[in-house]
Amino acid sequence: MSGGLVVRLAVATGLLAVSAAPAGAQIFDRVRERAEQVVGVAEKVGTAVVPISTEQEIEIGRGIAATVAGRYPVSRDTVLTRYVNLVGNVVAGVDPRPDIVYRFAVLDSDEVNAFASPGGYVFVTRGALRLMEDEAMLAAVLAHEVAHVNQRDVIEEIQDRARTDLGIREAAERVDITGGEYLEKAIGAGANALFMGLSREDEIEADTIGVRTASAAGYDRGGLQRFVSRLEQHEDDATLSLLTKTHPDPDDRLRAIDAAEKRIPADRRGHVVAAERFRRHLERMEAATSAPGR
Amino acid sequence: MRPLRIVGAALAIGALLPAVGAAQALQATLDARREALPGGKHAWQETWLVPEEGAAAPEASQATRFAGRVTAYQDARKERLELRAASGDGLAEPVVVVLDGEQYWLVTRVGATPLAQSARASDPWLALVLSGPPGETPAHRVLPADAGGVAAVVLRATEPTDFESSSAFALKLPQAGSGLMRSGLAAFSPANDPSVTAAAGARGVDQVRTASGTVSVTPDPAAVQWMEGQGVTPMALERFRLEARLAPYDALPAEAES
Repeated sequence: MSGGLVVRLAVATGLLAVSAAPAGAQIFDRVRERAEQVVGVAEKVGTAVVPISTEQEIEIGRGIAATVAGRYPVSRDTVLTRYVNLVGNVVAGVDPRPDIVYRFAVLDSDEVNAFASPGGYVFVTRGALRLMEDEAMLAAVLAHEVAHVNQRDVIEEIQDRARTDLGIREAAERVDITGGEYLEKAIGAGANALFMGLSREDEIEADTIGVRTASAAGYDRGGLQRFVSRLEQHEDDATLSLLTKTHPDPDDRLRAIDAAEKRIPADRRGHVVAAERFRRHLERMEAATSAPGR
Repeated sequence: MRPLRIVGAALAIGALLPAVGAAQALQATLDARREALPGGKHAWQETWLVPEEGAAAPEASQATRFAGRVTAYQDARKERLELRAASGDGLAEPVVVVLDGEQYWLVTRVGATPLAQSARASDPWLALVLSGPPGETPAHRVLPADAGGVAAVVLRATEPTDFESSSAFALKLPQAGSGLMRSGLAAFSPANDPSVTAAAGARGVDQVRTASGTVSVTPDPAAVQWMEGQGVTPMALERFRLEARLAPYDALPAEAES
């Protein structure tokens, strides 16, 4: 049900109640006038605040990505970054948004996590890579993040917060929430959403799309299930503390992932695991990390 | 002078005869293709592997290289083919062929020419594509060369059919590329060129709320710029897919593994 319809129903209900009151006419007119104002503003907000163009999305995404890179340093290991970019672009290529470029990077952190900033900036931590056993798991995690980008989950979160923070009337008047001073607010709201966690619905949907996408790219459809199972096994580790606070319970995720796997037709299921190729890159990463002088 | 003129004309006609024969053969191919078009709305994408050297390879897998991608859109008696040949580390601008229900046209930025009359019609890859089956085929097929061996290996995958027919079968090109191909377009977009980076943008914020409390951050826009310079080329992506036999190469039979 749309917000506009909810307001109309509320107004209609209010009008019925008022029309039954003895002091009728004057109160009726005032209530109707106020109700029409509310409907007008709500409709303006519903249509006016929502649009954020791709250019604005990329601008906001770059700001959020710079914030993520400030929180966790971006690894400058070009071989590892190239590998993650290749896997990421394979899965992103299944159903890409033609208006953005997907970019992937590794964060130099032992924390287990991955982030998707609007506009196509995707990060995965070294800690997450260490928890993986093969390329299919990496592909699934990146496909989950690409789904957040494609579904514009963080952008929608920014729009929701703009409405809440500004109030309906103010938001309706300040249509361009990304213009000037509002750009920084939008980046702040997006970064907060990323570190506080997206909604349970968004995460489950990204899992479902991620399973389907990784399989369509040719990877074993069980990659995400195996990764989330690993999260469950290690959920008491300190390196998972942020992830467990910002994502749904692994059992809930596993149920949704299992259902998504079963919905993939037998002839559309990928089978590539690429454990050896992944292991080679992981060993190289570990050797580079432990090299003297780092 | 008169006998010389007659001889000259005869020589010219003699020179034209093979071309006339080729044009007739092409017209016959196009007519057969038009007749064989399946009914209903279809879309598919083919990955073409051709011999590393020469016109034929002795084996399907070991000696082939990625030649390009072909995307087809079909609806009733109409068809659009987009051929993107491998070019350096990327893919060339598409060669676009449209069947408008009556005849095949070569569509360029300056207009449309009947395909059978265009110079492009002699392109060997285009000729191979046009002679292929427009309807259902196996996911993997091997085209034999006339002189024996393999002329090409073709991997076909079906594509979503949510394209706009009015755009697909128009005899003109849209402003920026076809915009019809969904799968793989981002990877082959000029915007994915590693040298292309976004203009200077937002800096980031210095405080974020996390699930563990508010933390101070020093934004790092330089890291984002570095990230934007780490793109991968379409050719690198193809090699990476082929190495692990990811889609579409998963259609290759086991013995063809490289």
